[in-house]
Amino acid sequence: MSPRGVLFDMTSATRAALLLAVVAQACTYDEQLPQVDIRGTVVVPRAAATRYIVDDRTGQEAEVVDARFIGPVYLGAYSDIRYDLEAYPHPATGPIIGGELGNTYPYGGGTVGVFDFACYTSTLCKVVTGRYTDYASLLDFFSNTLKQPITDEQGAEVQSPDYFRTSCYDLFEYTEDNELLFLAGEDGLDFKENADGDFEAEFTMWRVNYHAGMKVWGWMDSPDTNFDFTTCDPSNGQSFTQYSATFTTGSSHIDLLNYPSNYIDIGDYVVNEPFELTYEDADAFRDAAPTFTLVYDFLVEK
Amino acid sequence: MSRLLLAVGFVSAFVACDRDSKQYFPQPVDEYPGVVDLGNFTPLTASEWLDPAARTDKSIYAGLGENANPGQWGGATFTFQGTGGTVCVIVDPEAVFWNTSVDVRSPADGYICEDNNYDDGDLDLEVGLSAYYNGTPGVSIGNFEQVYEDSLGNEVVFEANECQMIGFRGQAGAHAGRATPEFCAIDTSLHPGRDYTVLLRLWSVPADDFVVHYAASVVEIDGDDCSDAISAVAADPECVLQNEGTGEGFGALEELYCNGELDTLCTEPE
Amino acid sequence: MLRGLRREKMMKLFTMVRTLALMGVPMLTVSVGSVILGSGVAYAQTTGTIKGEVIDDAGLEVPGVLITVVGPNLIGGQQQEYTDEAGRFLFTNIPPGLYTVSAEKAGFGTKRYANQQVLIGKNTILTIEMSVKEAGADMDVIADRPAIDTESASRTTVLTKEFLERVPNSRSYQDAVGATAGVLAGGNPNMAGASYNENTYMMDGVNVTDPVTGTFSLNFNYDAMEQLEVITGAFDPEYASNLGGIINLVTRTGSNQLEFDTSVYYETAAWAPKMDARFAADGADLAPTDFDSQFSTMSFNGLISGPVVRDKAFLVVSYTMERSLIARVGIDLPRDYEGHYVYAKLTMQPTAANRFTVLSQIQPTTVDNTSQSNRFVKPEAQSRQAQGGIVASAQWDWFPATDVTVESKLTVQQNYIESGGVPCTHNKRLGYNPCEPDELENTYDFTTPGRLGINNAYNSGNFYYYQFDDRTRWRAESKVSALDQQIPFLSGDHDFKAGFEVDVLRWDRSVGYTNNIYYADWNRQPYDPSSFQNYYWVEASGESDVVAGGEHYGLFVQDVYQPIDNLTFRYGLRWDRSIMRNNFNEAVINFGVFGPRFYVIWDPFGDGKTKVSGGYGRFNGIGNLGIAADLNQSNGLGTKLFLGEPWSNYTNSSAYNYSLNPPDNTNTVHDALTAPHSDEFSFVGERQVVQDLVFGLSFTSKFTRNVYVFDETNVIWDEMGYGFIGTGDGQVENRYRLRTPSLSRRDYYQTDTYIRRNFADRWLAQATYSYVVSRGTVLDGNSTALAVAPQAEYAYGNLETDVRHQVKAQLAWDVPNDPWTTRLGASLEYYSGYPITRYYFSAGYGGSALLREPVGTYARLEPTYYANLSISQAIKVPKGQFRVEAALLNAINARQAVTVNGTYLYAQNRWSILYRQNLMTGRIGVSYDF
Repeated sequence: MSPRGVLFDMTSATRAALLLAVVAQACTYDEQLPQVDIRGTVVVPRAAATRYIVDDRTGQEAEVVDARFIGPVYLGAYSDIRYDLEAYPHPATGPIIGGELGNTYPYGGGTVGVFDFACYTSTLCKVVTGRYTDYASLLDFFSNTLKQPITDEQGAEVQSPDYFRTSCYDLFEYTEDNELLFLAGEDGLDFKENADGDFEAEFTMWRVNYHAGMKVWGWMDSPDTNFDFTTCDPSNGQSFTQYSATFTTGSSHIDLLNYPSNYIDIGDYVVNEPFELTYEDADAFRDAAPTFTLVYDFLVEK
Repeated sequence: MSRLLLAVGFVSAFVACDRDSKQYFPQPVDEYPGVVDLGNFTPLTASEWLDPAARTDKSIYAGLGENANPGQWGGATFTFQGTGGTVCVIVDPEAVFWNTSVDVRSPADGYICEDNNYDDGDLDLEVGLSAYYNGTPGVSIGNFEQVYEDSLGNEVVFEANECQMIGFRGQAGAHAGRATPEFCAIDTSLHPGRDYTVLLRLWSVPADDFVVHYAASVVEIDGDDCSDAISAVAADPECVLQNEGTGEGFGALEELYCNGELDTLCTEPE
Repeated sequence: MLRGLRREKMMKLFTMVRTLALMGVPMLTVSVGSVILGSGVAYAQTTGTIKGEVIDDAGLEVPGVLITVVGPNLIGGQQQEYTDEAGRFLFTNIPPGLYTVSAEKAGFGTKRYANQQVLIGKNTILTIEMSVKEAGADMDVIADRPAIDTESASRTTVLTKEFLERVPNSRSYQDAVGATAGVLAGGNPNMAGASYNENTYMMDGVNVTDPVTGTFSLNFNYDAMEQLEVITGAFDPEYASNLGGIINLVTRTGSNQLEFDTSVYYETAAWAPKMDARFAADGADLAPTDFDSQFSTMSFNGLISGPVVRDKAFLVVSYTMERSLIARVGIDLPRDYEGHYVYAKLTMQPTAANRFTVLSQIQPTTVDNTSQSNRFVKPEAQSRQAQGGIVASAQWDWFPATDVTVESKLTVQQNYIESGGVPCTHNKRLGYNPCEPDELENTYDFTTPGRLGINNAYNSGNFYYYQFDDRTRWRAESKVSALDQQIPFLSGDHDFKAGFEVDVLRWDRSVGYTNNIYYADWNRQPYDPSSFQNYYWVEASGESDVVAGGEHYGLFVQDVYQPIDNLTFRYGLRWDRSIMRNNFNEAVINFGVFGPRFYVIWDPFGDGKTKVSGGYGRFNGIGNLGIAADLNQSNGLGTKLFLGEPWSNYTNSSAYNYSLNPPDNTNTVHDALTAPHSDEFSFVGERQVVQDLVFGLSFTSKFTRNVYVFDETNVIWDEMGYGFIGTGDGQVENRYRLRTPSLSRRDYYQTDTYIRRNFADRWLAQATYSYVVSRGTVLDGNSTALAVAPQAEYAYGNLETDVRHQVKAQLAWDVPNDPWTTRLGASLEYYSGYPITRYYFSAGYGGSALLREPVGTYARLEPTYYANLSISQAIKVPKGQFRVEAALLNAINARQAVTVNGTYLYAQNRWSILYRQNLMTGRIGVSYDF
């Protein structure tokens, strides 16, 4: 009997054994973890994906709706949301120490989309995951929609997806496109247009400390006219040295959920009605496994 | 040979089992307790601060020894009342003058300067409302950690030390090393008249005498940081509070340093 | 504790790099006793039994036959008993070795069975045929040598002395176990898919596992081993509770004959082909490198054994001195290891019903120049380590009846590791750290900076601190065995056993910093005195003294039930209670768990030549002090690091160039912690094809759950687990929590196909092919593999024990040129490489390396293969004999990578190779014994 044959022969036994082991274990151990993964759907209004772009040829301003305008969406779980602290709904804060802003002490959080370095410093803090299918999509958006063509480290415009790929592989020593976070592929885009014309996406908040009565709230960081984001820190992230150039890849600020008002500015969309989780404890939440929709409908105007 | 090795082996094995490290650490010094409370301190006014004699007279000059309880923090505490404005709190442990004597490692690249590498102690500065300080003054050293309970009853330990320094890698809770002065601007406008505690946490004592001598002070300032107050009296924080060290020749060396004449002690590498 | 024997292993240990140690010198040999029989009666795992029955011409049992067992190792003199009504006989607690069994009865002939080998924990089963037709005759019987163990379900291999000395290896017990199927050899081998720190090590039945790390703790004179027992699974409850395997080395017992054995070996790689040029292009730094490392080692071994009182008291004393020098390319000072291993065992049997054994081992060792990873380290910045320990044990075996044994034992084990800078010397030639005139040689002066040699010298990675680390285990255990028992109204025989064990553990560790600074060049660039660039120091606050402790209690009952001759049930239950505390006396590990076992063994033809067995067992990991110490609360001490640049900024954040390691341990433990455990299902089929030759097939599936793991409770991650967006308590720090989630798991499958030719007629051979699949989320005992929540989605994948194809083969032949007795030996091992998990840097704060790769696209290291050859020649002299040995180890000098550093993708290197296969070395040795 060949060794491979032996392995195949044992598969059913293996399954039985695995089942027995799982059953035996289920009888003996319940970890009762106080953390839960919270899943649901975020909805951002169509306006958040809408820009008015001046057509170079006609000089006319045209409305462009494109999910690629949607910035990173942040979610946090908090003890309470108050409407008197800022000009928009804002989590309750803890003590003020030394005149500094109070900390919100979030129970957990998550995002839809993260900043990722798209291999050229000209894209630093401008590329969010889940928004682009491939290299061509990125090149097209920056060149034709934003009118901010991507340039390489020598300042030359990047026009070829193949050149784009080569640059990425050289920089990161990657060998497959799926190693690059910012390329989502055809099926990996986060946001899809719904029946109302708004955009929605699924989210997961990993391992949130569960407290009965906590509220899920968040905001979407809208890029400014130059397509810059306030929640991205260009000096954060991994440091790279390539040839003689040293640069960082940029990433989100590390205290976004603790001090959201430091980062929320005009044009961002905030959750007006947070979702309250009323299950008695984490086990009850897990049993129910609820999903819910969070609407980012409060436009920050001042 | 075998017999000798056997004998050595047996002795080594048994002796080694009983070794510990106690004898290798700095020992407490009777005259300088490791935990002291210096009482209340009145912040200096701007004019007092600018007057060298008054600055010296009204500032704290003291020493700390190793804590008699190994493994527990030592340090000094004192309090001041919130002025309603901003104050600058500064502490300068002996000694370190940033000369280049440390680089005998590579004499081809550096200078050789006279210095005593072993007279540098270190204190770390923390300041906060006394109500938040959880140590027992004069008995044990604590910190400014307190518990906040949110509306759902969740408790979070938070840091109420208002003298937060950010480290090289961006993390909070950093402190300067090796006898370097530390200072912080404290805004007392929300709590005028309330007690603030200044904690000088003993990080290490110098190797030469196991006592770290230091100077400390609190001064009223106008801005929101210490820069003006410091630059008004010295080009270097090391020279704001002088003569904190008691070792032989300390004052003269510090004076050379503060006058920018330290190089006179240096020789070019061979 | 650490020890150092082989260069690769020691380096790995020194650098604290966990490695899959495929390398090691390929050791071979699998248990090929001249007689391997029924197993199961694992008395203290240090002795075996002789049992059987006497039948007549008609196949009927013959009672009243006088059975005599004689052998040089048999303390108490010859043993005799008459067969019972069923014609059966049983001799228990027989020290391993060769015996002659004779049977005599009036009216029958006398029969003698010579060279019956007793193996540790095994039954030597004889069926003696006597005939009235042979009355008066006196016959030496050449019996069949049954090669199959028809009563055992455990996957046990016993390496006998004969095989250990014939098959070439690096002369260490850790390497030797690598010859066993499913074992990845190394200083701390991985056994049956378990982590390197989940095995149990025993010396003469005494548990000598490091109580802190769960690793090996002692070195041993290779020549003093009588047998080496390697158990990789399906073992009975009486054995220790663990998730891995058991390595039990049993030393010589001594005999009525005075024996003396001494040897000297020298091994060197000086003439091995140079490899630097060949590997220069693979991306690793060439200096320092271990491609063309310098390596030499010398050992002196001595052993004397004999009777103190004839038949009543035997003494064995053994000593080994080993010194090895290792230097990587570019390193001036070789790592200098010198160990002295002294072992003594006194066995006394003053009466037939009482046996006492007292043993002790000490092993003072020093390791100089332990820093071998940085060529900038200066002599005065080097560090030294002293290590060693003592094991002392006293055992009383009481035999109230022939088939009943009460065995009780007290043990103390203490290990120490002390490390620090270079002590002073009066040797002016060395030129550094001179002692003061009134100081003793080798005095450590921690109170005067500079005297340790760490001041002003480049010493990145150096011990700028020192530590005194003592680890202690006190153990008491007792076991009652009643064999061959019958229960009324129930046919068949039972072997009952029950026992308890108590361990009290303690870890006392002082770490100090040499008050208070050292300087180094962080960037390996010249220091610029005008700007303070490229310069840093570390200063520390003093002493940290940590004491952790724990207890473990074990109880077991078991039975081996044979309702009919060719069917055996082995079943039992083990209970373990484990409490491991941190330095604040908080019980981090605290549970009581059961481990049931049930196995069936069937000899379908009843001829002792075929076996089919299978069963289930649950094995629990009782933890160790090291895991508890992860939750140690700091005494508020730590280190500061200063980097470059002067103080310049006058704001509150002006401490920009300074950082302080948080003094408080922020690790916590989850309330619901359970015991890691394996559910193991096994199947074995064996058939003796021809005399001495066995063909076998075995399959093991092992499901390990609830392995210790840390998760992270403070940081709030983005959806990718790539960067973080907030913190729960506002402090930008990771806070870890110890858990045993079901998600922390390993699934392991192993299929072995093997043939085994027992040693007989001058030769032995064995070949094993194993196909292995090892997958899971975490391998090591306490890992941070599940720290980042989103990563857990992807983390299940191949583990480092996933070495799919493993081939092991050994051959030894005694050339028939008597009286010259030339011996030839060879071994070969092949491993098909193990998976490298690809990690990616997080874009978030701190740049942690995080897993972000779905299952199935792991890279693999290249296969590795090893070959050893040896030849030895005996030269007889009037008193005893000399033996000259020459061996070529790692004859295939492939130098493939066996350990990689940080399996992440970083900058220009996909990964960097830490260690490669051993250099090819040659060894010559001379021994003399009588």
